[in-house]
Amino acid sequence: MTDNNAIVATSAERSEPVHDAVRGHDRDFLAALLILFLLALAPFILNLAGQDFWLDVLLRAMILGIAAASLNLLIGLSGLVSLGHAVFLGIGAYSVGILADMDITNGAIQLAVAVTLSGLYAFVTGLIALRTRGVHFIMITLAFAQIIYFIMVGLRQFGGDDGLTINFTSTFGDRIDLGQKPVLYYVVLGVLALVLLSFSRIIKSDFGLLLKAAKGSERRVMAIGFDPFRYRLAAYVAAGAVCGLAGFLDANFTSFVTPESMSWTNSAELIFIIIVGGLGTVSGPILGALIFLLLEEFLGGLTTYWHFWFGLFLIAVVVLAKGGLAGLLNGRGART
Amino acid sequence: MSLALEIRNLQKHFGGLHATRNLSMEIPRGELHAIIGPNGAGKTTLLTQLSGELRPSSGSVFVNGRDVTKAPPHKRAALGVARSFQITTLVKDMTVGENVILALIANSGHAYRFWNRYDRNAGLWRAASEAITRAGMAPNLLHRRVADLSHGEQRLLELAIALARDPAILLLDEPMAGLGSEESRAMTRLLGSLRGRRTILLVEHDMEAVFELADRITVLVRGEVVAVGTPGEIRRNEEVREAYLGEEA
Ligand SMILES: Nc1ncnc2c1ncn2[C@@H]1O[C@H](COP(=O)(O)OP(=O)(O)O)[C@@H](O)[C@H]1O
Ligand SMILES: [Mg+2]
Repeated sequence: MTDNNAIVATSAERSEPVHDAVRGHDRDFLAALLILFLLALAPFILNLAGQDFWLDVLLRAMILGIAAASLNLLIGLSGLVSLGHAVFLGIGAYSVGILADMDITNGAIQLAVAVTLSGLYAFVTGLIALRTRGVHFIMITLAFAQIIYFIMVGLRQFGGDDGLTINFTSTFGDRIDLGQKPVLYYVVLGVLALVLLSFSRIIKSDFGLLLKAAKGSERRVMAIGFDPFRYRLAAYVAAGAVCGLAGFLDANFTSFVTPESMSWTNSAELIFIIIVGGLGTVSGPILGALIFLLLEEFLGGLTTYWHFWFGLFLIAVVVLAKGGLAGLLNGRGART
Repeated sequence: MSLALEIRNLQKHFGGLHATRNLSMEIPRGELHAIIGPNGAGKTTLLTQLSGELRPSSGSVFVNGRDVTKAPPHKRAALGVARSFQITTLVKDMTVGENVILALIANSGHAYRFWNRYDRNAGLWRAASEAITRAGMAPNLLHRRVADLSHGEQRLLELAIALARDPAILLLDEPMAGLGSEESRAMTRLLGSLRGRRTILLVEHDMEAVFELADRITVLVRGEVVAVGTPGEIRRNEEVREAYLGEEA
């Protein structure tokens, strides 16, 4: 030790800061728990207030929150900016729609198909897209999404660009029917809770550390002995499968699916949501989704140009709060 | 004599530039072998071909007798090759401990663990703390963000990470670059303490350190080996004096 003291003398004199990152993470996690708790109470409160309409807004926010959380694994944790993520919402929703059209309303089967197809699509496209970085990755994910979009527009038997109306909602046995609002609400809430808690766990796991490191320094990760490609592919498949699950839920909520749900503007919306909420944070996706939909409701009621005001809001958040809303909540430590 | 590293007729072209010229080297296990040469001689290019980030235009590389010419960096790392970088490639927005822990995780073979908590694994943090202490860093730096470290500390961390993999072969690219004279001496002592226990290929401009540490020295000029020998032989070599060492030696 004494031999090498010279090198460290300068920094040993600096005072040791308390581990901000750890604290920030805890606060972010608590924020997520609080939001989930409030969402669990919301149906009772809204019912008492006679404002049941808002329940639909919350439901949509939660479904978007699940989709955004899955994208957060890619953009926030892995630095992989996908502009085709909404395609998984479509794959999940069309799985429900097409199966329901064939009179298969068994939720377990629909869910298995939705998640498997999403994961498979992610695997195949990921094999190609993940060979590229940055702008190229953005373009390839977009291109793949456009292909699926136009395929669905072309398939007249599934409604083409008019979309597909889903006449039967998913059922699990005799007791659970996702067509019943309260059931759907708490199922979606449960899934959201599971997804957010898993995310909070993953960012502190070996897997999460590796993705984060590969984002910061790919050469380092390879020199240490990891092949970043494989881990990114695993993350990509997981994110796709979870977003497919969100699509499955969305189909049961809207009873309708169109190719439009897979459009790149929907993918961009998911990016908005996680940037506003806070990249790489646990609470960010649901926070962003809530803000997004509440603004849409409020501003949309005031003016048809609400996208303009929303744009301004987005710019303000990006400029004033680099870590998103969750970042504000947590101080600088919230950024992973 | 068993060879840790063998390089046969290595060639590397960058378009019209011939950066590695028919280069062959044999480095026995446990040797500390220094590579010196002027800027642009192709030292970094050579190390990068040994670590696998760059494919040679032709020729081959053997690690412990095994042909690794086509193996990517992560495969070579698994065979015990570790490198430090001339320009650090540390993950700047992670802490010192997290950077080291990544290397410790690599020792376990994979990182497909989605549910463990590395941040709460006391054993892992203890090992990380030991790894940086071994490299001469103060243990209290463990939770500091890499971006907040001094340049000297980052160089030490580079080495700590390479050593944490317990590598058989260490490729070091100018570990003393940018260090103060005190810091350089500490780094020299650290490298000296590793001598004999690992095979080390040391690219370095600090001649004092090189002549003190090296078992043998290779002089590289314009991608070509102009001399190989013990520090004494290199010091006496007229050609080398003229071509490179000048008045320094
Ligand atoms: N990726 C590259 N593309 C083109 N030329 C390169 C590349 N890397 C290095 N070179 C050139 O190869 C020569 C050797 O560079 P380098 O290996 O960095 O030298 P050294 O480390 O000995 O200073 C230099 O002329 C450099 O400009
Ligand atoms: Mg160099």
